[in-house]
Parts: sequence; structure tokens; C-alpha cells
Amino acid sequence: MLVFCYICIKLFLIKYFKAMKLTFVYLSLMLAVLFQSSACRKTPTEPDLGPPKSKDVEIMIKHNWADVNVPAVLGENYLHPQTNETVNFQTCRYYLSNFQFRKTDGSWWSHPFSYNLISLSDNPNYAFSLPDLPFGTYDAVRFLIGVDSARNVSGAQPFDLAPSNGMFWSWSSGYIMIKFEGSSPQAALNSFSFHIGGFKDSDNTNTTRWKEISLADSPFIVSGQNNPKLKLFTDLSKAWDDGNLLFDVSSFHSASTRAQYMADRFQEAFSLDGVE
Amino acid sequence: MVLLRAYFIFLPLVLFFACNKDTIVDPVEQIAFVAPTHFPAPFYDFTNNPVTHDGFELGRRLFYDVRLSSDETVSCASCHHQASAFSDAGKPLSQGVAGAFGDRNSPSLSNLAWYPAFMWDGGVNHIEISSFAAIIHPSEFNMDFAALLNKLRAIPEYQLMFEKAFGSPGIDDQRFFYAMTQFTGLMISANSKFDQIQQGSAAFSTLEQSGFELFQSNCANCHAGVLFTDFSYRNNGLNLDFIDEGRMGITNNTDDLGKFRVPSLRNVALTAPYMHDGRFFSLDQVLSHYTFGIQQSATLDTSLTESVQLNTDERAAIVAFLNTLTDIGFTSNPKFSTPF
Repeated sequence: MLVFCYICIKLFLIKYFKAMKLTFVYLSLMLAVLFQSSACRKTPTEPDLGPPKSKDVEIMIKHNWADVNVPAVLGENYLHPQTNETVNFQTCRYYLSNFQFRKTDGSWWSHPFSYNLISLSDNPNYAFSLPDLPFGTYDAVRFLIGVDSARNVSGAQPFDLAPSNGMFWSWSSGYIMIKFEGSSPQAALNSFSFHIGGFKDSDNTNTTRWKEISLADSPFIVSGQNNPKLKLFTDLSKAWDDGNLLFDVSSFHSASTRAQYMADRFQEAFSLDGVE
Repeated sequence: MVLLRAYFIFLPLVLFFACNKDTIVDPVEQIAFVAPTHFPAPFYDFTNNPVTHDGFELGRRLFYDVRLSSDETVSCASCHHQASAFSDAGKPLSQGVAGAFGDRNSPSLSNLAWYPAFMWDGGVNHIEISSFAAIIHPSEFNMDFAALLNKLRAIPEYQLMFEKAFGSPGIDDQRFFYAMTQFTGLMISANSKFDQIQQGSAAFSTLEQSGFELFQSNCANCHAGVLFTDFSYRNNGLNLDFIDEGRMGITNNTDDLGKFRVPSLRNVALTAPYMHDGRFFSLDQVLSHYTFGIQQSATLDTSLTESVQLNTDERAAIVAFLNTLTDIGFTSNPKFSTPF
């Protein structure tokens, strides 16, 4: 085939370019091809980065109700110790995002893209992975409860932020940061539905809350030797603290002062269980 | 020497063929987002969602596919007809599955890449998700979005189209919305007589010219610029009591009661009926409203507290001008018509 090509080209060149300096033709061809080959250069192969300097860590969340020894799951009745309201969850979902870890030199390492939709099920525990945390020792963690405003105004988002998760308002764009739905004898029609959302500071409807948890007493070590786990408690009863929400109102579905109120309470739900 | 020459000939040949594998030129018509030179900078940036022929064609198919609705009776095109500049061809209110009526008039769709927000109340903040509300609304498509994605995943034709459009198999939220945006974002209407006049290739008639001048002094305050809207929300005096609270439903601000987005007037002669509730069936009715019908309420736009005085001739002149905003090239462009 190549020989055939060569002959054809050769004949072609001899026929039409005899008068021209063949070297000129060769050079032109070479130049044209070199130009084209540089335009279609393949992406370089992954450079060898040497031994890994980071690893995926696991975040484990244990849901409980008012007492770390009372696991919280869907479909069970829980009595609130302050308000005497009974809460039975059919849905309990919320976002934790923007994970940051404080190094022992006091600087914070921020995860570039960590948006996690936590769903309560018939298992009180929920685990997810945070990829590529650099090796090191960390003495604090902080994260956003909810989804930052940038992701609320940037169109179609992937993964846990996808609208098909049912956590995005279609009629007034923005994430439902926290969704509590279920039944209660104290609620109107025996059911409640709290959709907590709103992301704007400008009109005071921001329901995202930062939570910082100290790891000073049990530093979080990420190294090549271990499989690091950060274990947190989420006490769902905290969202009902300091008020009779169900007596007062059994549903809200838009940015509001009630949503702010519940977001403030839910911020207190998170505490450290331990590290591994 | 012969060998050397052979080498020089072969080398380019071999390189040429090796390279060609990597640079397959799309043989089909090139589709691209091109902003008209007389338009301002677009609001939407296609950088993260690069337009391709296959992406555009996928969006087009989705736009016209009734399988997106729960009972497979409506598609986007059911309320957004191309011949009516993608408005609702005479229906005051949108009509969804099982004949259910929505709350508002389906707006005309064009030049959406310039829109900072969507819907009459501006509740949707991004073009990519502008179809989401219609799809899940019980009176429109009535589809659970996760169920819709599963439905599309089971259709071989869509499996293939998504793979072609995005380079790998898989159907997800982002790909769905990206494809829709490639289609709807490219629906640009910028070649009406008005546009041709802007570019010096046509001229107003005497009547149109006088209508244009009346429009500039009476209407362009809100219907501003080449998009004929300043994208603000205003109460234009339709009501004293508000069944539909409009913008206030989004902001919870009582100052926004009864305010709706100033609509673009591009192709306005084709997009009757008018207003958020489709109450006016002719442009003359609309213009008469501004002269005779303004209702004085607390949130009435300050520019309308004294009504706009337009006599019959002046209204006719403005209508003549508004007719120059009709872009037949847009409403008849086969690129935007049904692929079914």
C-alpha cells in the first residue's frame, strides 16, 4: 500500500511539478504536515506524580434523636423533650457542602467540590466519601449546611446537586437545603412538610449555615497508613428546639423567617462522634 | 538519494493519515451561537456548554417530544409554536396534560441567551433550568424529573443521541438541560425589518417612522434597547386587586405586588394574546389600555400614574412600527421546526 502510494505520488509529482524544484515541494509538504500534526497533538499522558499525597476520607453521620443513644430512622415516633411534639419522619434530607479542614499551622484546606445530599433511611447511619484530602493532621473541620449561593444561580448542576433529587425549587430557583416531611398528631392534618431554602444575604433569606467542629482533642490524621474516618452525630431533635413548630405551622415551602429559624436550630444538630 | 526522497514523501503522508484520525471534521452543517453585531453582550455563556450539531439536534428533539409529559400529550412546542414566535397561538393561558390550564400566558421565546431571569415573575434564575418548572408542574408536563430521565434512558433513540451529543453514553440532568439550552439558546430573532433598518439595509415607511418616534417617547422607557425590554418587573395598571401577586410571589416583598416582567416585543404582532394573563387579543387593545385602562394601585409603575395619551392614529402608527419587529426568517427557519 505504502509503495503504491509512493509510486502514485512520485508519478504525480514528476508529471505536474517537473518544472519546479522538487525540494521546494517536499519542504512545502513537510511544513504543511508539521503544522497540521502540531494542531492535532494528542493530550500528554498523565505525568508520574510519584507516591500519593492525598486520599479519600469517609464522613460517617449517625442520626439520633435528643440522645446519642437513640438512633433516628424513618417511620418511628420521636417525642421532643422540650415541646412534647411527636415527630415521625417520612423524608429527612439535607445538604452538607464546602468541607474545609484546619491544618495544625492554622490554615484551612478547602475541598474544591464537595456537595453531599444526606438522606435518612431505615438506617440511622449515612456515609459518604470526600475525595483527595491531602495527607496531614487536622484540628478542626467546618462545612456549610446547605448549598452556597453560587451553585444556586449557576444553572444545571451535576451529581447530588441534580434537580432530579427533588431538592431544587422549580418555580423560584434555589436549593431546598433541608427537607423534613412526615407525620405528627400535633400537626394540621397530622402531617408536616418543612422545606428550608433561600440563599440570598441581600434580602435576608439565606438559610445556609456554617458549622465548625473542633478536632483538637482527637486530631484527624490522614496518611498513607490509615483509612481515615470522620464520625459526626446529627441530633435531628435540635431542629425542633425552642419552639412549638408543629402547633404553630405544619408546612412552609419558601424562603421565610420560619425557614431561617429552623436553619438556626439545625445548625446545633452537629457534633463530633470521633475520628479513626 | 532516491531513498532519501522516498522518505521525504512518505513522512508527510504517514503523518497526514495518522493525524486525520484525530481531526474528523463534522460533515453536517455547523451550528454555532453567534451574537448579532447590533445586540448587547449575551447573558448566557456557552463556554461550559459548547454548542454542537448533535447537542442542538438533541435539544430540538426534546423540545418537540410529547414523551416528556406524563400522558404524552404535550411538548414544549404545544405552548410555544414557532409560527407564533414560540408563543401560544391565541391561548390566554398555557394548557398542559389532561387539558389542565396553567396560571399564566405562555411567553414568546427568542433571544433567551440575553435573559437574566425567566418566567413572568422572574422566578427562574438561569436559562439551563428554564424548562424544569414546566416539566414538573402538575398543570403542565406533570412529570417527576427523575422518572423522566429514566424514561429517556430506556429509549434507544435518546441513548444514541445523548451519546453523540456528549461523547459518552449516559443521560442525566445536566446533559438534558445542556441540550435544551443549546436549542433554546440559539433561537435568536435578529433579522426583522427593524434589524435590517438598524444595519442600514432597509428603511421605515412614513407611518412606521412616526410610530417608531411615538414608541421611543412613550414605550421605550421599559421596552428598551434592541431586545425591547429592560428586564424589570413592573405593575402596568392591569388590576386593582391581584389574584396573581406576580413578582411578590418570588421576593415576598409587598412592593412587588402585581408586578410582572416587562416582556420583549420582538415578533409581538405574532404573539397575541398579551399580558401575563392573556387578556388582550390585539395590539390596539394593549395600547388602548395604556391610554384608557390604567388602574391606580399602590404598586403601579410611576411612569404610568399619568396615562399615556395616544389617539387612534398614533396607536395605528405604533402598531405599524411594532409590525417591523416581525422576523419571518425566525418563525419559518427549518432549523427550529419539528424534527418529528
